[in-house]
Amino acid sequence: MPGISRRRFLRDASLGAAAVGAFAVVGPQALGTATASASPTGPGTASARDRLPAPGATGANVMAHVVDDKSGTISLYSGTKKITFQDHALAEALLRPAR
Amino acid sequence: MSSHREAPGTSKDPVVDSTDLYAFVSPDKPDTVTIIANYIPLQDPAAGPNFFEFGDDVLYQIHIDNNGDGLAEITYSFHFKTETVDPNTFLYNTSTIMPPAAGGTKYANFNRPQTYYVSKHADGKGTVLASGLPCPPCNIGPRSTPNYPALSAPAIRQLAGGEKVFAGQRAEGFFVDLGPIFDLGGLRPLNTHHLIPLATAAGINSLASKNVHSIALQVPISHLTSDHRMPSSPTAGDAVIGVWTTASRQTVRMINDGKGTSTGSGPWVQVSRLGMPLVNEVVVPVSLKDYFNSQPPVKDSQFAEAVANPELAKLIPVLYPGAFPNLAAYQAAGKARPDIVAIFATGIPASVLPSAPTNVGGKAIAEMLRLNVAVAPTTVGSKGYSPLGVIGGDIGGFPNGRRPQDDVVTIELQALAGATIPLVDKGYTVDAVVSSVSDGAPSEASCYQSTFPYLADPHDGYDNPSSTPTATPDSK
Repeated sequence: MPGISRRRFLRDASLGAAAVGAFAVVGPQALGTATASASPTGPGTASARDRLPAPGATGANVMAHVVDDKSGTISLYSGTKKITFQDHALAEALLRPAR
Repeated sequence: MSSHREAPGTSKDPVVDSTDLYAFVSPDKPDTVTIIANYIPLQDPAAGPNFFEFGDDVLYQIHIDNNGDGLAEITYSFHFKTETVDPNTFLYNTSTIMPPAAGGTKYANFNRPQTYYVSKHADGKGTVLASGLPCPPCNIGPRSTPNYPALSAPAIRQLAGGEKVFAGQRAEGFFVDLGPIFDLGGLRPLNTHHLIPLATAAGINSLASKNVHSIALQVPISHLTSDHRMPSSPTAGDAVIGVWTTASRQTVRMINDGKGTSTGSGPWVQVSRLGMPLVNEVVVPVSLKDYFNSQPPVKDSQFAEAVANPELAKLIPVLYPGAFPNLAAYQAAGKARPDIVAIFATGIPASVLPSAPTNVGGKAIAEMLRLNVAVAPTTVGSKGYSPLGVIGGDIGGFPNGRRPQDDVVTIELQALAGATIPLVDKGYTVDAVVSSVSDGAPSEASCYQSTFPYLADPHDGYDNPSSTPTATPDSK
């Protein structure tokens, strides 16, 4: 902890003392729709490529879960969304390194 | 406990572990309802270096059903965010923590400030009510948090929409003698009646001097009812609300190798749930507890058998042979317990409790904390007040909602022991011993306050424990 000293402790304590008893009223600051996370979402029906944010654009990770290799069912997770779709070739490509 | 560590999964994940839920008409503001959802159980005040915090990766919600269908018509959501001000110190606070300046949110010298935003979803639309609201620091001791009321007061916020909110550490208000109860259903005051008798003793509050994290919300009654009005009477169709709280985590958690961090992805998935106290604790079988935590109240008919024939009620005559002959005979006749179903899962109809029904037309079997908002509150200590709520003659208390001081352990033990059977079977005679059935745990008046958020400031870590606890030899 840089700059630690008895003097600093006493200074910080005395500066902060002036704020004792503060009380604030906060109103709406970001009116709009609730976040998607407020309402759990279910599996989507559209193409994953259409619905999920591009990782490069948002910094979000995309997790892929091969749910069923026989049917090629894959779930993608990103942000607070989940998309489930079927793509045999992609499922096979994802599973190949794991075998 | 009420719902502390009640399921195998949540017992390993304290930040999602809902411990208690309270809902009551505010005694000092009777045109409002106060809802308190507690999380993170069994907090020892001396918790350094990492004091307790809400989970930044957890979605906390409070749900209200106002038409008895077991579905939420109103949901409040709370998201938390923690900052590390100085990453180069191990300290939680770098000097005495000072409260924010008037209108501000930043606590001076607090190295792990946590803020949150609260949103409301109702009538098909979502609204962010406020953001950047501060949580107070935990109560550390006389050097770090010497004037705790000055730190907690700025965290009580009146919102423009009419709600009042607080989120942060509080004194644990729940009280129970945990040791004997889970030592084969023991109750110290009834020790001599037990199948394995011990000397009678006074109850002990196992949660004394513990803290908890509370999300407290005070809402005008007219914001909660189905027709947005104050109900005209306790039997009016809009008089009862059902309340429950949930905690959710994102579907996927990726631990980032070599970075000491993790990343969440995917939809929020419910992992913890609480409405009525003790239901998941002692009614739902252990194999279903985490499953129960994942389910919404509207699907609770799947648990109806466990509620209608509660295991604990069957155990009582076995564990206390000869003390409950009428209960034993009742159960030996194969009779189910519609009184328990009403208390826990459907609400009590006006035909049984006309002055304070907790079901005025609801159809669902749904385990929620039901509150008749048209029943006037009973102030603690006033005429008519009883910590035993309805079975104590006080219709302002549990199971008509739940107040922090309500002795829900004793209430539910007496109900399970047969005290409420006459509500549905007039010919039943309650066993004489039932009125003395209790764990005997005393409540601590210092854990409560008469104004919002009603649970008192937390115990500080310097003074709790106040001396080195002495190990007690095992009972022989």
